[in-house]
Amino acid sequence: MSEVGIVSWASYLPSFRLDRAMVSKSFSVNSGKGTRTVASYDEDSSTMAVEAARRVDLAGVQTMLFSTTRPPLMDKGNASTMAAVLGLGDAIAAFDLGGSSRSTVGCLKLARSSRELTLLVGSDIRFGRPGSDDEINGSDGAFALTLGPNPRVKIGEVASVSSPTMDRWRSEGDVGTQTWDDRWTAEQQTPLMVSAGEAALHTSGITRENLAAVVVSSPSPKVNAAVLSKFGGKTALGVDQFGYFGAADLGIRIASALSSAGPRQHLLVVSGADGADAFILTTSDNFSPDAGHGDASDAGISVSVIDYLAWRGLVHREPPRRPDPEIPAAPAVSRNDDWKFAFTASRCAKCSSVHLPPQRVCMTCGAIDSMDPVPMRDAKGKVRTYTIDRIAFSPNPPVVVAVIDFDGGGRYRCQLTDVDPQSVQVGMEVEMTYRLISTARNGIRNYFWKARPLKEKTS
Amino acid sequence: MTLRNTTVPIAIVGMGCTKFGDHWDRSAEDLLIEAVNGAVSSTRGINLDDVDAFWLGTTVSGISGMVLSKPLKIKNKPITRVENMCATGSDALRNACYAVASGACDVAMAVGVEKLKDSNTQGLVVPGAPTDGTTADLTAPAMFSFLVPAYMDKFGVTKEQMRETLSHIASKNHANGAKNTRAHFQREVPIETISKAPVIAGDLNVFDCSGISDGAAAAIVCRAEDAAKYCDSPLFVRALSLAAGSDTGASDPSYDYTTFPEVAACAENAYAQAGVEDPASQISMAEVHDCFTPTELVLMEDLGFSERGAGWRDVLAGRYDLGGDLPVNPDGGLKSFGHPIGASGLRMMFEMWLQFRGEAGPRQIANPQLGLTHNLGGQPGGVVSFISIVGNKPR
Ligand SMILES: [Zn+2]
Repeated sequence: MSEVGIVSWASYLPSFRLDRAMVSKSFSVNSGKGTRTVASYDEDSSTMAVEAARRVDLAGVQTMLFSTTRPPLMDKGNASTMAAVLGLGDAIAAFDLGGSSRSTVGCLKLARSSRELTLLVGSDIRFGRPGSDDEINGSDGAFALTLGPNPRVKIGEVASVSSPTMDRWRSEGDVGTQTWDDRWTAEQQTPLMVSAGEAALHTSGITRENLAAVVVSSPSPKVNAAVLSKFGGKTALGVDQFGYFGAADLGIRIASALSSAGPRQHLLVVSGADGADAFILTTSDNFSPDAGHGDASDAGISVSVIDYLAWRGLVHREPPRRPDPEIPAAPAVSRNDDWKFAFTASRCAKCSSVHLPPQRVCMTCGAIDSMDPVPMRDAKGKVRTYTIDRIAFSPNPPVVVAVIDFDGGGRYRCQLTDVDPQSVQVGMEVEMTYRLISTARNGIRNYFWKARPLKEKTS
Repeated sequence: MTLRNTTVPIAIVGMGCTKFGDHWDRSAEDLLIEAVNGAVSSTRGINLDDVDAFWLGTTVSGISGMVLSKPLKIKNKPITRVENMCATGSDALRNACYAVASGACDVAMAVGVEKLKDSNTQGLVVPGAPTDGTTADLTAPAMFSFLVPAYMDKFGVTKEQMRETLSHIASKNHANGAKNTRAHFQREVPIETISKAPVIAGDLNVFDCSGISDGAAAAIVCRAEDAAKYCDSPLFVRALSLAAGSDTGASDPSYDYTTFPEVAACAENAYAQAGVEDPASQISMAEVHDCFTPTELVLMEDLGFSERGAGWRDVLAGRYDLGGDLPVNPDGGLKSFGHPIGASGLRMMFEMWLQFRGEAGPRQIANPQLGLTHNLGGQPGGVVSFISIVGNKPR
C-alpha cells in the first residue's frame, strides 16, 4: 500500500491590490508597507476556491473538502455547489468545514487518512473594521490540493497541540475579528507552535539540518518570525508580502514552497490556530515543481480604499433608481444546472453550431433534440463588440458587457470583470471566470460566469 | 412564407392622440378617455357604442381588456389586451384591422396607452418571468450602443463622423418636435449641445436616447368601402407586416450588430403587400422607431431608404430632414415624444393621419403619396418588428 500525500497543488490570488500606505493615510494608523490582495466585488470564498481548483487536475476526485472562515452561505453547503461548477459529477462527496483557519489542517488530516482522491480547497476573505489588524495584515486568496495515493509529496503524521487561548474571536454578525493584546498572544502562541514543530520532527526522525524549507502560518508576523528562527529557517515565499490568508494561508504557503522545491526534500510545516499543528512534507524522488500562475508576482490592479470598503459592504453606495437584482428561481436553476453551474453549452450533432445557453432546437439548421453537451468554462474567446453601461446597477460601476466569440465556435454576451473599462478593445482575448453576479433581496447569491482578460500562464 | 394584404381593404376613419409627457396629474384612465373620445369625435357619426370590438395595447399599465372598459364603462364588448414589446400599439391596430377584414365586425378600435411616470425608476422596466439568473442585465441604451462600434468598424466610419451623424438625427428629431404641440419635448437642441452631453452607455449620450413619457392614442378602423360614411379624408391601410426574430443574435457569431435582420424581412413583406418596388423613391415619409439615434441610422438601411453603409452619408446630407427627400420622424419621433410603449405605434400613425389630411401645420409635407410607420422592440440580435404602409388613396 503506497502512502497518501499531495498529488497536485495550486493557489489563486485575486487581481486587486490595496496599498497599505493608503490605509494608513485614510485611518491614521500605522499600516506598514506594500500591498495586500483584495477579492473583487464579485468574488467570495466560494468563487476564489473554484478558481484555485480549476488550476489542478480534477480527474478521479471522489471527495471534496472546503475550508473557510467566511462561508458565503450557512445552513447550506457551498462545497456541493462548487462541485457542480467544477463538473465533478453528482456522485461526489462534498463537505464544508469551517469556523477557524485550523479547519484546513483538519481537512488535510482527514484526506491523509483516506484512500480516495480528495480535493481540498481553502479560501478566505480577510477584513475587519477599517484600520483593523485583519484589514492591514490580511489578504484574500484560495488554494487547491488533491491528496491521494501515488503522491508527489508525502505528508508525515500531523502533530497537534490544542489550546483554548482567547487570542481571536468573531461572533455571528460581527464585521471583523477581535483580538487580545498581541504581545500576550505572541507569548502564548510561539511555544505551542515550536512544540508542535519539534514533535513533527521527532516523529519523523528528521533533524532541523535536514529541512529544505520551513513553512510557518499564523495571523501574527511576529510569531511567524519567532517560530521560523527557532527552526533555523529563513524561508522566504513570494506570498509573504501579502500577510495572512486565513483558512487559505496554509495551502497557499505550501503551494508557494512546493513551486520552488526539488526532489527528495523535507519541508516542515507549522500552523498556529487554536493551538498548533505541524507535519513534514517530503517530495518524491522524481519531484519537479509546477509552473506557478504568477499571481504573487503580478502587480495587480490597484483598488482605492473607498472601493475596497464598498466591496466588503462597509460603506454603502446610493443605488441607482433601478429594480432590485433578479432572484434566480431555484427550479429554473435546477432545470438548467449544467449551464448554470458548469457553463456547459450544447453543440448541434448535425451542423456543429454551438449554443450558449444550450438549446433544444438548432438556430442554424433547425434540428430538434440532436444536441451534445459541450463544456465551455475553459474555452478562450475574443471580444467581438462591447459597451460600458453607466446606468446599470453594479456594486462597482460602470458595468462592462462584451459579446464574446469563442475559439472553436459559440457566442456569449456577458460582463467583463477584473478589467479597466478604458482598456477594453475589440479583439481582446478573454477567458471565463466564475463570479457572483448579484445578491437578491432574499439573500440568494446568484453566481454565474463572466469573462476576464486572458491571464497568460507564466513560469 | 405567405403573408398577404387583407382580402378586404381597410381604412382608418378616426384618430385621437394625447399630448405626451410627464402627466403627473393624469392617470392611465384619464389618458385613455382622452384618446378614445378624440378618436370617436373625429369621425362622422361613430359613437363609442358603434364600435364592435377593441384591441388595447399596453405593456405595463394594466392587464386584460378591462383596463379599457372600466374607465369608459364599455359593457360586454370583446376587448383584447395586446402586448408585443415596443410594437404593442401597432400590433393592436393590426389586430383591429384583421378583425374587420375577417367580417367578424364592422367597426373596431385600437387603443394604446402607457403610464410610466408613476414608477420611481430610471429607464424602462418591463417585468419578466423568473429565470435561472444567467442573463446579463443590460439597460436598453447599452444594448443598442452595440450598433455603434460595429457599424463604424464595418463601414469605415470615423468616431467623429459617427458622432456627427448621431447628433444630426437627434437634432433633426428635436427640431421637428419643436413644431409639434403634442410632443413631450418641444425645443430645438443645437448639435454642439448634443455632441457634448454626458455619456450613458458606450458612445451613446443623453441626447442619443429617447425619454420616458406618459401618453395614449387611438384609431377607429372599418372596411375601406364604408370609409366615406364616417370620414371625408380617411387613411387607407396598404400593408401590415409583423416579424418576430428568433432572438439568436446574442449567441450567433454570424450576427454582426450592423442591422436588424427582422426589420429587413418585415420591410420586404410590407413592400410586397403595398406593391412598392423602390422604397427610397416611393415612400414619401416615415415614422420610425428612433429609441436611440443609431437605431434610426441602421433602420434607414434596413428599410431600404439608403444603401448599406451609406445611411450615415444620407443622414448628414439632410435627406431625412423635414425638408429633405424622405422626411423621417416629421412629428419629432420618440426623441421628442418619449416612449409610452403601448401608445407609440399609434402616435406614429396619428402623424400619418394629420399629414395625409393636410393638418400637420408647420410640419406639413407637400403631397405625400405613401407613408410608412415602423416599430421595433427588443435589442439588436432579437427584435419584434412592425411596419405599416398607408396612404390617402384606396388600393
Ligand atoms: Zn444544426
